[in-house]
Amino acid sequence: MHDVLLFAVLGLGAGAVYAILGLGLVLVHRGSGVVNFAHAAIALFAAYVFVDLTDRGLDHWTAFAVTLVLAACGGVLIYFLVIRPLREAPALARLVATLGVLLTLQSLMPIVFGLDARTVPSLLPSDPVEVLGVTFGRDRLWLLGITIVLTVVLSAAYRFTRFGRATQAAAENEKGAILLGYSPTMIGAANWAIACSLAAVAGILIAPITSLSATTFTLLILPALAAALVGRFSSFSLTALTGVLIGVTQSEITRYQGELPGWFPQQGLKDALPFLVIIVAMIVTGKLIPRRGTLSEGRPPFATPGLIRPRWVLVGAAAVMLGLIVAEGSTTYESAITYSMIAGIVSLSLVVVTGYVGQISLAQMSFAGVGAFAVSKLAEENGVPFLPALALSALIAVPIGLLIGLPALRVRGVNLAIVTIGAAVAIDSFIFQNTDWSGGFDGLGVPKPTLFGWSIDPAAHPQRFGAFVLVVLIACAVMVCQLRRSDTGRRMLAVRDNERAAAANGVNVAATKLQAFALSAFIAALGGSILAYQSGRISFQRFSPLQSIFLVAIAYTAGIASVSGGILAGVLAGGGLSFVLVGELVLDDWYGVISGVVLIVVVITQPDGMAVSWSRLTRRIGRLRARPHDALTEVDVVQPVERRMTVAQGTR
Amino acid sequence: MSERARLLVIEDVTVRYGGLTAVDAVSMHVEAGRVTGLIGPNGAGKTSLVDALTGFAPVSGGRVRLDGNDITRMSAHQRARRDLGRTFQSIELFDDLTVRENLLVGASRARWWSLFRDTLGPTRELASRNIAWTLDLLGLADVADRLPTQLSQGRRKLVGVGRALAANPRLVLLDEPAAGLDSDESEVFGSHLRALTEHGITVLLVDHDMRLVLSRCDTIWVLEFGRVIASGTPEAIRADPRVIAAYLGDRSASTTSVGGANE
Repeated sequence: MHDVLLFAVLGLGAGAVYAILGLGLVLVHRGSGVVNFAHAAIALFAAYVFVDLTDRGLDHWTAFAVTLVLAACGGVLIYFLVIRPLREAPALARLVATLGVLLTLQSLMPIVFGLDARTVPSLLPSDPVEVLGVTFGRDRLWLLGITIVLTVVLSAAYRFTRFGRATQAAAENEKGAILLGYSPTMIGAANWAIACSLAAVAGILIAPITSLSATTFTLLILPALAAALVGRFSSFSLTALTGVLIGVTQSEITRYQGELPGWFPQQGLKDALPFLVIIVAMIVTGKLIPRRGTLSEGRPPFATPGLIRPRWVLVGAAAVMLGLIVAEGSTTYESAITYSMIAGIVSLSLVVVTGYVGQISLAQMSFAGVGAFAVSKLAEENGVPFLPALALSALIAVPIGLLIGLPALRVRGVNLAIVTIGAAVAIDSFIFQNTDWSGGFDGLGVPKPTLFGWSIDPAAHPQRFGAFVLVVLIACAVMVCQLRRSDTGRRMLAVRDNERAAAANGVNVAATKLQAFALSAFIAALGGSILAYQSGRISFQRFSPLQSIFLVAIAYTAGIASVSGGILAGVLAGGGLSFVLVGELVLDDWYGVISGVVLIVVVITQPDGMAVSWSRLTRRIGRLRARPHDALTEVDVVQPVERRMTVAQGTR
Repeated sequence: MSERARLLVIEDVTVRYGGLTAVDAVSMHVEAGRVTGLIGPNGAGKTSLVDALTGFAPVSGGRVRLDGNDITRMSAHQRARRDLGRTFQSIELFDDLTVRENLLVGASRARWWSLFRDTLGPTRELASRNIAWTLDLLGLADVADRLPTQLSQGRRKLVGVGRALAANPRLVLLDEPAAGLDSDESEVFGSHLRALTEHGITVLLVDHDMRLVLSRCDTIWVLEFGRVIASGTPEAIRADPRVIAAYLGDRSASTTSVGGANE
């Protein structure tokens, strides 16, 4: 009993932070209809700013106040630069934009604040206090108190003040709010300011308890999202309560996991708990985030017709082989070219599930990781030869893809994104971080591949291995192109565009979504297993949920609904070709910042992605030089203008 | 009226949304090879009934039979595969697919092996005769490779109709296909309806356009407040005092061009 109480109290610290972060998420969603994946990163950034200010000699409370003001200004800035321009964009675009903010902040932090561990001064008194025979730091009570006060104040403010009611009105019906004379812009900016200040509070309070670490901190978003989701992104009290409960339960799990049966994967349970909360919340409440009555719903990225141009396939393949020959001897470039192709394969899996069927999956690198994991088990431990090992590993990921696709039958859009990233965290913590299974610090070994008795060891024969990856990439690209032009592909796009009309035309919406998840998991795992062979030794950091997030962000920028976009995403991916090339010009550290900013700019200005914009541009130039004779060319060029018009009409 | 096979039989179908009863124990039928009309003032429950027949609204009571088979509990896509097509009042096209591709979605049927066939097998050119016929019939052949967003409202409507027809259904429910068309377009559209029955497609036409319904339908059912208040030939409907009171207002029953309750 004593222990139960002690661990419950210890969990209050984390619980309070989840709650406060959750409150910020609710505010942002109420104020601007965005689920802010960068919220925890904002909290971490603010904590760094706070530490920096105290290091410069400011006393703690002045530093705290200054940080809150700066955070509020930062919130307003993010709103006007990123969120407001995307007011009429589809949900995925807005989500990707917050991923862009996350990426930018995350990459900026080591540059601005350095990589050294920083001690964070605690604002709260932590002298021991004894309650009911349990002794603990007084700060836990303070944290709980602050959470309760914030929750009560916010609930009251949003119920009884004019501003709160205006926010509520705008969240329910933006058009109506405008007619009543409220400005959605001011409401959005104000809510972002408050939410970012709250994030700063959370960051500064938790930093002394945990530590300032980008990876752990950014993923604090997950329990916070779980809490906000239970609160349906509208109830402050429910959100705060759930946040605190998650923290307390996680703490109890650390206490009791030693007593769980041996077969039970113990390490992951603590991190997987938020995911379980999300799933239960999904099942119990059905459609979770209420749809916001915005002025008009933006169109998803244009899905190109999927024509295969043999000329370009040959040119591309020749360029890759030439690159591999020129790069001979430079391990960096050889592996960068090959890695880009592998990342291209994994990105093509996103083209299927997100581009064609419109289901946002933030678990693609987890599928890839499952493929890598399976390769090691099959090839290293059981001696399965190269090609069968690849095929089997990809197949093993299919049931997992189907499982993660199941929630897509009930939820869509941003909700699905939250479920899939929860799943990614669960896979990461149950399998990849499980030292019994994943080889611990050394990672898992993978044998040197041979093809028909011919060594294609990536270390000894990088060109042979590169050629093999090229063949797989082309095969996957052709497959996805074929899919786009087939009956199944049309059904997928029909589901993406309009589920009601799809069902009325005999399309089994559920089956179509599951097919997409299955195929997508297969392709991603294929890429992951090839990556395992390339690295020779699997380190599962490459398959962490954060990597999945970055991949979606890059794929969206490149053009998530076109095959050329998928391949371009591979070139742009971190660790890929452009990463190395940019690294030659500027410091590697800046790559993340640059991609984050480019991502935001592209999402706002090129809603169909870079690959599609590029092909439109080249065709327009081609049209200036020669008269058109291809009907499709005309259609594609007219397309963006026409779409603006329908968006402007706003009828749905 | 000659006895014909009853393709669609609706028995005591009730649709409730919360406390509101939108369709109240409606019984009616649609005869094979004919154009049947369903009219009624705003809020009479026409669209709710169409939704219930096609699996988009929960049926709280009664039965729907298509060619003798009970389809009451089937999902929307299963009904569509059972040769029951429909259009939507609000059009609802697939905006990223060309007109031809929109029609192809309706025409294709998924099999369990479709995914393997479509990713691994060679690309097939589906030159379905049905698609060509539909495009010709509705005058959409010249825009077959355009995106729906590039077409006028009237032609978008026709694409919606074409998509339902491309599946070659036995029965198609047209939910206000003429709303938003001008009177000429509406006239042309009406002339297509006959071509459908000649092609073996039975039509249930739900519309506000009284001229269209009275001039093109063989049989008409009239709904008011979720109940059937009259049924019969256009002549009988024109003369029915309850219909005149409920729908046509005080205007003379002999006028065929009554505007009705347009939205």
